[in-house]
Amino acid sequence: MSQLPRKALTTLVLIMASISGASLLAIIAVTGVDILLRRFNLAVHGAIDIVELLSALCISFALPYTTAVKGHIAVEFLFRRFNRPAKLVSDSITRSLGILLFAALSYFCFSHGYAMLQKKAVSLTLNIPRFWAYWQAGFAFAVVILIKLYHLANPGKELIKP
Amino acid sequence: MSTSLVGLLGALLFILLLALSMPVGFAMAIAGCLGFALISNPGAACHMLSSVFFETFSKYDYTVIPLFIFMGQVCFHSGISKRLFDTAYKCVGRLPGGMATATVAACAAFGAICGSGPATAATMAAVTLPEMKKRNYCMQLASGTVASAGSLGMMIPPSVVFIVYGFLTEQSPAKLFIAGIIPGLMFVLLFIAYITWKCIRNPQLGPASPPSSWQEKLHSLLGVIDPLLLFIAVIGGMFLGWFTPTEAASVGALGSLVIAACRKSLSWSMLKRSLMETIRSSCMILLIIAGAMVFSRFLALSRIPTELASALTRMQMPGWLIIACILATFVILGTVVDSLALVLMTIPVFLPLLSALNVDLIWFGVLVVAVVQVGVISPPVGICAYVVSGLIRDVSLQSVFKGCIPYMGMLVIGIILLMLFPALATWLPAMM
Repeated sequence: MSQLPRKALTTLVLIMASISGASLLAIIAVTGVDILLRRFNLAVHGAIDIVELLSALCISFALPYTTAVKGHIAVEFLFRRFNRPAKLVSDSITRSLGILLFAALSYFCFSHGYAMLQKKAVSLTLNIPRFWAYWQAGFAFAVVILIKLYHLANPGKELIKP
Repeated sequence: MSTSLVGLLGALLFILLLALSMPVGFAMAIAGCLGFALISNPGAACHMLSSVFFETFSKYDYTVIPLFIFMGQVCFHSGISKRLFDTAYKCVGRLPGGMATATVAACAAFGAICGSGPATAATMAAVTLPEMKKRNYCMQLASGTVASAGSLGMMIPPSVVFIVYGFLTEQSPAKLFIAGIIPGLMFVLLFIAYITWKCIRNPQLGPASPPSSWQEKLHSLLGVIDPLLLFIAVIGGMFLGWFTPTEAASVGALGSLVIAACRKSLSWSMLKRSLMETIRSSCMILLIIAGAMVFSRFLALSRIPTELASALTRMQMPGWLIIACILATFVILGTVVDSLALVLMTIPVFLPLLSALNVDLIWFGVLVVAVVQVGVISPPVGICAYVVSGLIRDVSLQSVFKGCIPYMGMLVIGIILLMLFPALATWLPAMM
């Protein structure tokens, strides 16, 4: 992959990670304010709705960053004993399967989101449309595919240094 | 093809993918989805896959994971560890092996605000190992102590392993946290007893330090009041029923930010580092949970866990023997598989069996965490030992592992005590 797409992908991943971090702070703020206000019988209306949507945003937008820094847990006990060609083959197989997994996840999240848009599905208390939550997850899964393609083309390298 | 055969093939595919070093969450999701597709149909499998992933990412109860991790990260970056060690050292430093004893106490205290064993080991190793080296401690004892005491972070609440176990077994994370308090303290005492006994027999291993005055001791206590208050607010609030676990985690996260601000250690870069590490760890954990959920739905459809449970029940083996066999499996797998991944991979398989045996799942959860603690300090992939070895270059990994062996013995003694006296784990939760 040439430098420009790599830089663009890195920037996109970091922007998504920043949104993820901001969502986490927002979860803390909403829950904290809710607990405080409940002492005065003034709970935040729909706090659970907000937290659930923010949580979906936080975790799905963290996924590209976690993948970019190779932050997922794998059992490397046997893998370390493989020779270099075996490692390359094994790495290519697992990454290709990972790409298929995230392609399926992305496609079905977009398709669920579209179905929700058609049905005008909303959250339980605040009636916030839910389709975008599925679409943002689908988008995050699609970005993971790009990162996996980068890792496939550049074996042994992280897209972002942790 | 029978559903059980598909179940076995799915399990084999999962093991194969793990051996090829595929991330655990991905391997479980792929094997689970393919198996589900074979038993039902591909459309239903893909629908289940995306629903499970989205539900896991957006479930209110699961937000407890990033919130507790964030609390630990903020504490980690705000220098609380050094103050905890100073206080513990001033209180017990004059005993034989006092600095190692102080390390165990400080690790336990840090574990009370950080839910991760490796994070506790990494934090405390950076603070305590240079000090022990300065005082001519045997580095095998020192490094083994930090690695093993770091694992206490998994037992002493809040613990990420307890949260994950609670989700899988539908047990209250609050009850599991409370259940971990007495066993956690028991392990602290066992570790301290070993250090004291060892250093009385051979004082060269851990020379006693000059005693501190009462004034110094009281003054040092001021430095740990804030983490103590944070722990009391979080765990006490849950115990008294004031907060749900998610709310308690949020209070903890807010409290840690307030403490960091009061101690003037809250900066933009510190917040950024804490957030980045939190989102990375949380995403990694939730992805494994999502994968485990997909895999457990496939296993349930294949009926393997229920058939395993009924086969073992028909054999009429004593319950304690079955539990001992399950724990032995955990010990063996724990030497090569990460603690969280191990719990997520195995609990869905054993759960029907445990239910058939009428096992108290709170008590069993404590046992599982204790066994997992053994795994994180045993070769070949004991993560806490690796963390400590990575931080101190002049002590070999082999030496760290050797230093951990006596503590593994202490953990086994603790596990036997927990099996003989389940009330050690069940008494406090029963009061909630």
